[in-house]
Parts: sequence; structure tokens; C-alpha cells
Amino acid sequence: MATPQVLPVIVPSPPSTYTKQASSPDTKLSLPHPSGHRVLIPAGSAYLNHLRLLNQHNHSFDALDSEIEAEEQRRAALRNDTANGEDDLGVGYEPETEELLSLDPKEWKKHDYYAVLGLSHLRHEANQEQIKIAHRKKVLKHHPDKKVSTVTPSSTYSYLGIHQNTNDDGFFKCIQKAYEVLTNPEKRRQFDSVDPVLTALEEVPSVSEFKADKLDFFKTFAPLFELHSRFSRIQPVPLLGDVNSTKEKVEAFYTFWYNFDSWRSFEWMDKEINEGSDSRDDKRYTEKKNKSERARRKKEDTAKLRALVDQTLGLDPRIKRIKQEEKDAREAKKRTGTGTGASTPRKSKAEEEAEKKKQEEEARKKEEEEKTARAEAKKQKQAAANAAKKARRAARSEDANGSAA
Amino acid sequence: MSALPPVVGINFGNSYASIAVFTKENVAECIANQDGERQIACAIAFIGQEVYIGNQAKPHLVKNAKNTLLGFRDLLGISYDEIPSHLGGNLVQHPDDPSIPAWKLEVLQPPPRPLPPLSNSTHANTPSASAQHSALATPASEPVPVTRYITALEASTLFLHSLAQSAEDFLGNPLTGAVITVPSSFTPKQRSALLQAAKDASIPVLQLLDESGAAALTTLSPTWCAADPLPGNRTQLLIDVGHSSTTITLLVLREGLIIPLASSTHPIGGHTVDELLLKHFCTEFTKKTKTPLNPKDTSDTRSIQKLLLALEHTKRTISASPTAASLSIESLKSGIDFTSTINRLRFDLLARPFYAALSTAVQELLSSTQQTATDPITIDEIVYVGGTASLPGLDEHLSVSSGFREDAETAFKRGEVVGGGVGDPTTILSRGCTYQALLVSELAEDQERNGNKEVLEGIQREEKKNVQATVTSRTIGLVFPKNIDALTAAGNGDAAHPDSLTDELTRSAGGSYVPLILKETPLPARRTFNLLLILPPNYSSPLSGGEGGKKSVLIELWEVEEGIKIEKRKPSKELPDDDEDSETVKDGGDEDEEEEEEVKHAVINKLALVGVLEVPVKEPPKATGKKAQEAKDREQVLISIKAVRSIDGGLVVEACHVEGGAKVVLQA
Repeated sequence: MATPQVLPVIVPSPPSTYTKQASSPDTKLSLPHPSGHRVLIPAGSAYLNHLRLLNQHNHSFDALDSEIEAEEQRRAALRNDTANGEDDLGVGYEPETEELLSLDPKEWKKHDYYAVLGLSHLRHEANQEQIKIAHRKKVLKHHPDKKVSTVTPSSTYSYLGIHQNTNDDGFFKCIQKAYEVLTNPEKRRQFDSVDPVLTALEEVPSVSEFKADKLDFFKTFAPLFELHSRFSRIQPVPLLGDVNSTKEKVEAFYTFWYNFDSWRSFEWMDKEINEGSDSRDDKRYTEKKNKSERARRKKEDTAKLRALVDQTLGLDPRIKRIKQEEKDAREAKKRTGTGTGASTPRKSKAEEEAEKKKQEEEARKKEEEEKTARAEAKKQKQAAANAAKKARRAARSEDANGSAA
Repeated sequence: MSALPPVVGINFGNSYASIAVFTKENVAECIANQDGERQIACAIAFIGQEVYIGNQAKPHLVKNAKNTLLGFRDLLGISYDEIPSHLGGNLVQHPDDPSIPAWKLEVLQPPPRPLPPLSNSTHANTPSASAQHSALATPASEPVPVTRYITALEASTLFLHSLAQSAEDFLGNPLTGAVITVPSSFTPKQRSALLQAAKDASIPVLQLLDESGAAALTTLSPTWCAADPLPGNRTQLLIDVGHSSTTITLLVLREGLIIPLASSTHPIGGHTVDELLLKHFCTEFTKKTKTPLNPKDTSDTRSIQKLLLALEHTKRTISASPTAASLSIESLKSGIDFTSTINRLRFDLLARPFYAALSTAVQELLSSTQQTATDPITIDEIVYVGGTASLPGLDEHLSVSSGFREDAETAFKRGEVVGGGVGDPTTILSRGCTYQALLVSELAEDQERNGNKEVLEGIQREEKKNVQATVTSRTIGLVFPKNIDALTAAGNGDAAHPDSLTDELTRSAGGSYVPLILKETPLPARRTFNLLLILPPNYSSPLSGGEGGKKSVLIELWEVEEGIKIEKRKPSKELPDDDEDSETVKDGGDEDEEEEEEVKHAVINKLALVGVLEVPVKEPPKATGKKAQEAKDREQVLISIKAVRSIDGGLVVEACHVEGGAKVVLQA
């Protein structure tokens, strides 16, 4: 049923000496005219309901209500079906709030363009086709040519003291701006980087909060990573997973997120460069400032993400589990190693170790042999040298003896 | 395209037709045919081998009037003997069946096809070629003049087919359903003839809809008066000014149900205006050129037809813009061109007899309404239908001369007539048909699924049991009783107090009055609405037992009778005192003393007290400071009311405070 109509009534103060007039039992309501006094025109939905009431529901409004409700639901489902088909690619219809319609086109940097185009349910996932369809829908509805400027403010509005928005094409300008930004890939990337609605969701609970509120780890952190995943240059992005994720998956997740490669940038937050000013220095100064600001924001963002990953790692119940598992495995290994019956792989391992030892020993021996060989060669060399010296000395003494003689 | 089914609403008038379909925004809109005309003339011209349908056929009235058909709708299903005298024209008895009227036309029949090409000749398929090269006798290649008889049924079929074709071209899909208007005066025989014509034109007709129903349906659609929707219960006067006749219908709308109270048809209409204008321009032409042009003179028929065609344009121009409209015809008579203009003042002056005739017709209808003589001031809305109704002076003249309420709604007052607005009188009927076509096609779809065709067939057959309704005879209303002291205080100009804003209705009811279930409401009926009660300071129900009792609001339920109080207004007249006032309540303003100025007021006569409701109200949360003061001054309470009146007249009223509170039930 539709929401009931509201009628304002000014109630006067009742007479103080009011006495309840007993409606005498013989005053009955005037009977209706007999059937056929009036003939209905068989048109309109109200007539259909009237017929249903008479023919199918035995004059019961409740039965009619339930039928109408069922009908409505079926229709809505049908509409959704067709809406999700090739018709409008799931753009659908979003109600437009007063607030949205009264956006100031001059404040365009602060607008939520997805909401303006009625794509808040898709946001960064909306593709170009969907944006095009949504834009077309909005333009058909809000084009200034569609507005009748001669319509006088309706009486209820003026009664309530609300004046209708005369700035009629304001919202249309907003639509055009939104379309311009969202269809330009570069501008859309910049806007998506600082998407006001999604950025607001990036709030990370601190460790103490997390512990105090006994939050669920996966429910808290999985959406955060999903949010950030849209910034990754590498797709698909490994997501947090669940309690039973394998060690490899968990490790891959953390490696990925520690080396996260983000395209997020903060040009959108730039201060407007004053185009009017002729001063080149002024311009350059602003540009420089913007650049450093961008870098700072980027750094901050990276740090934030890093902190998030750190925190997640710290709180991750799976890490504990994995460590425990590793420990268990080690212990199990030890236990089996000291045990009576060595299993075949263990045996082979022992053999391998023995072989290794052997090899090492051989190598050592070889080395030693070489060492001794080298030492001997040295000795021999030295001996040879000594002999040569001796011979020279002998020869010299002989010469000296000879000359002396 | 839109998700809505390809259905069309066809307004098939006697002189003009229009078609409407659902556009992308799911709003019914009148569309133009291939010639770019939204108002399609019901005319067919057979010229030689060609057939012209619609506005293209109209110029042929000048050159070839004999072969041009007009006004075939009204001849549907009528035998030769029954033809009204003014429609006679150039009709003859059909040679096959003398009871059927037909037009006798001189047309050219296409020549028989040339012989199949000879195998050894390449050019044989052109007649000349075959004449040269073949030894065989050449078939006649010239079309042959023949006499053809066309009945109204055949003409309607041709015409409806062209309408359906236009709609299909616009939608890009074959039509799945159509609703066609039918005048309320049509006999079952005429209706079946119309159905037959539509069937021959292969139009899937869902329903033949009464013209007044189609118009009322448009006024019930959400686009009508979208900024400030009109109440669901209202009295409506439909003024359908066609080219050849005018139908005035008094309707009551009860939450979407349409109940005609009275209707009358008059042979005035667009042609009346045409005649008046024709006379004016003929005189002007005669004066300007010294060439006599007389509308009555049969030798001038072609000139008059030319002038009439041009007048059509002039009328449209003057309806669309506030400036003067021009008229220019080449070679009107004896090779003399004629150019003239007419401004709005002159136009209104010329059309005055027509306006006056219409006004008289309206007053006659209202005063002759059986059982319930209706006063013009009880009419809430006037709906104009038909091209002639868009003439600018019509609404002004009617509202002044017929004594309607100043706040009676019309599309002219809302400024929705010009420029294809929702109140455009020329498109209302076809749009109404489109809405109905959608409803019926959806219903058909549903019932196909459920295998239950009861409702659909009920609509299509218009069975008596389905359209005959049991309606209430008296209104039941809520009265919030008022302190008599406050009534007198009202005269003393206690402006700050809301009680001082007292009108005649409040006086006669002895408090604030809200109608609950109006008279003429088909049963069973249910009304649910919320009342936003603006309570005076320190409101307390006198029955709740003083301060200690729970807070509640007192509502009386009365059976009432609407009446009119005619007040004689003298410049210095004192307000009536208590006794007089209660007297007027009793005898409902029957006093009819002659005075200079009469002001009518709607009043009610309380006939019988049905019961008293005391609706418990929860105390609002205590506010502090300034807010508390405000809240105390204008306390607002939202109360939901649900009333159900069953088919045998039993009444159950439930009321409760919306913010939670006990439900009060009253049965009678």
C-alpha cells in the first residue's frame, strides 16, 4: 500500500461543557443506493482492484492487499531482471536526495561523481558503458530543456516556506562535470584515488581497539584489503582469505602486500594554480608545493598501508597456527629421529649425511695433502736455494782463496 | 527501448485522431505520424491511383471534394435509413446491400500487369519494349477509370491501419495491444462495427474505452498536475469540444474510480467557430477586393474550402501564442490573393456566441443532473478536451459566466496547455487510452499466467454486474467540535488564535470538518489517511475526565449532507450572532433573500451522529527552553484513520495515534 495521505487539520478547542450525545440506536446510517444507480467507467487501476475485490476476494480488503503486494514484488523482480540484462547493464535507478540535487556546481571538486550519476552502488567498478548509460539517463531527466521554467512554485511548497530551487541547471552542470571526469581515464584515476566515500571506509582500528572490542579479525581486515586492492597495478590481488588458508597462501599474501605496487596518487588534492597571476615564480612555487604535498601524501599512504599490513600480520591468528604447525612438524621429526625404527626416507637422509661427511673428509684430506705437498715443494725449493747459496759461497771462497793464493 | 510493452492508445474522433505510446521515461506521450502531425485529420482522399490518408487528404477537399471522405467514424454501424440529415452529404446506397451507406468514388484502377517477359528479349518487361519486340497484343498500360464504393467500415479500416502503422514505426515493434476511444453515445451495433474495423486493420484491440473515461484516466495519471497532486476525491467537469460536436460530462472521481453522473452532447464545436470566422473573413474579403464571397453561395464552394483549410492554421496559431494570427491564401477567388490578421480580442469577440452557447450547455447540464442538482461551486476541476478547447478565451469565458469556484483547477490556470504540456486538450484522450492499454495488457499477461481470465473478460465485455456499482448516498465526515465561545470570539478579531480563521464550512459543521467517505463512493470502500492535527494550546478532551485522565483527542463522526449557503453581502453587515448561526446550520442556507451581491459557500448539514471517537494520544517528550514554548503553542499530533464501508453499508472506523497508542474502533 502506498504511504497514506497526510491532511493537516487545525483542531479547535472543544467546548468545555461538552457532553457525549448518545447516538440513539435507531439513527442508522443512510443505506447506499441500490446497485445500478451508478455505472462505473471501466478504466484505471482502481477499477481493476474494484473488480478483483468484487469477483475474487469476496469484498475483503486484506486479501486484495496481499494480492497487490505479491504482484508488486513480482513486478519489481521482473524489472530487476530486465534491468540487469543487456538493457542498462545494471545501472538501475537510485533515488536522488534533496541534498544531491542542490549541489553547487562551483564546488565540483568536493562532489561524489558516482552519486551524481547514480552509480554509487558500482563506484570504481563501473565501466565506461555503464557510465555512459547512467549519464544518458540523468541527462534525459535533468536537461535544462526539460524543465518548464514557467511552473509557479507549487502551493504546498510556498505554504511550507520552501522555495523551489530556481537554479535549475545547477545539477545538470554537476552531471556534466561528473561525466567529464569519469570518462577521462587520467582524471578518473585521480578521482578514484581520493574517492571520498571509499576513503572514509579506510579507517583502521588500532590494536587496542581491536582487542578491547573483540573484533573479528577477518571481518575487520578483509574489507580493508579489498578496498586497497583496487589500487594495485598487479591484478588479481591476493586477498586475506580465511582461517583455513594454507601457509603458502598466507605467505604469498604478506609478500604481495609488503611489496604493494600502488597507482594511487594525490593530484586531486592539489591546490589550484592561480592561472590569473602572471608571476611565473608564484606558479612555480605552487607547483613545487603541490609536488611535495603529493609526495608527502603518497608516502603517508604507503606508510599507512604498511602499518596496516604490519598490524594485520601481528594480529593474524593464522601466523600463530602456522608457527605451531611448523613446531609440531619439527617435534614430530625429532621424535621419529630418536625412535627405534628409522623410516626409509630418514635412512636415506642419514646415508646422505654420511656421504656428505665422507665427501667433506675427502675434501679435507685432499686439502691437507695439497697443503703438505705445497709445504714439501716449498722445503725443496728452499733446500735448492740453500744449496745454491752454499755453492755460490763455496765458489766465492774458492775465488778469494785463489786470489789470495 | 522501454521495458513497457508496445501498446498504443488511439483516440479515434470523428474529425481528428491522435495516437499515444509510452516513451522511454515511461510516460504516455502523443506521437506524430509520418507527416509530423500529432492531430491527424480523419480524412481519406482517393485521387487517381493514389490514396491519401490523414492531413494530406485535406487539401484535396478543394480540388477533388467528391473523392475525399470525412466523418466516417460516426457512420460506423449505421444503416442508410438511420443517417442523420446533417451527415448525408454525398452518400449513396451500396449497390450490394442497399442498407449500407457508401461513398461513390471515381478512381483509376491500376492496369493489368504486362505479360511475363519473353525468354529471348531482355527489355521485354517494359510495355514499350514488349510492344516493339513482341508480336503478341500489348495489354492496356493506361490505368482505367472505375467506380468504387467505399463504406464507412472500409474507410475506418484504412484509416486505423495507417494510425497503427505510424505507432509501429515509432516503437519499432509490432503492436501487442491497443485501446481505442469510443463516444459514450455509441450503440452496441456501432461499437461492434468499430471493433470489426480495428480487426480488419489487424489492430489487437484490448478495450474500447469511453471518451470520458480516457480523459479522466489521464487526469488520474501521476504526470497530471505532478507538482501539486490533486485530491483523489474530486468532482470533475469534462468539456470535450470536438470539431462537429461537444460533449459535457460531469464525473466524480473516488480514489481512482470514475463515475459519470450526467452527460450531454451538443452539436456545437469547432465548425461553429469556423462558421463565425468564415463569415468575418468573407465580409473582409468582399470589402477589400470588391469581389463578393458568400459562404452560402454554392459557386464559391472551392474558395470556401480553401478558406476553411487556412482557418485551421489560424485557429492553431491563436491557440498557441498570445499575439495576432495571420491568414493568407493564394488565389482565393478570381485569382485574388487574400492576406489578413486577426488579434485575440477580435477573435474572442467573434467566437463569443460559441462560448456563450457552451456556457449555457454547461449550466443546463449542471442544473438538470438527476437527483443531485450540482452547483458550479462544487466542481473541483474542469478538464478541457479537443483541439477547439485550446482556444484561449474559452476557459476565461466559462469560468466567469458559469460561476465556478475561483480555485477550480484547469490546465489553463496551471499553464500546462501550450507547448505540449500535460494539459494539452488535443492529446488527453490518446494518452488516457495508452495508460489503459498498459493496464489491460499487464492484466492479460498476469491472467494468462494464472489461467484466470475473469477480470480481463469482465473488462472487455463490460458486463453489467461489473460496471454497476453500489454507491453511498450520503457523506460521512469527521468533526472536531468547537467551543461556541470561540466562535463568537472569532468575530472579535483574535487573529493570533487559529480558531479565528473560521469559514462558513467550519461554522456550519460546528468545528473543523474533514470528509471521510464521500457520497457517490462505490462500495466496498476503504479510506486510509493520516491527519496531522494542529492542537490549540492546552488542548484537553472534555470527556477524558479532567487533568488526571490520559490525553486524548475528541472526534465526532457525522453523517452529513452537503449544501450551499448563499450569503448576501452588504458592505456593512455585522456578523451573525450565535442564534442565527445555529439556525443556518439547521436549515442549511435555504433562505433566498434578494440582495445585490451573492456569495456562495459550501456548507454541510449534520444529519445524524454516527458516533464519537476518543483517540488516546501519547504525551510528546518534554522539550526544554524555547522549543518547549513552541511545542506548547502548536502541538502537532499525527493520527491515522482507517475507515471501511462494506457493500451492505456497514461502517468500521479505526483510529490511533501514529506514534503508538491504543486503537479506537467504532462500528455502525
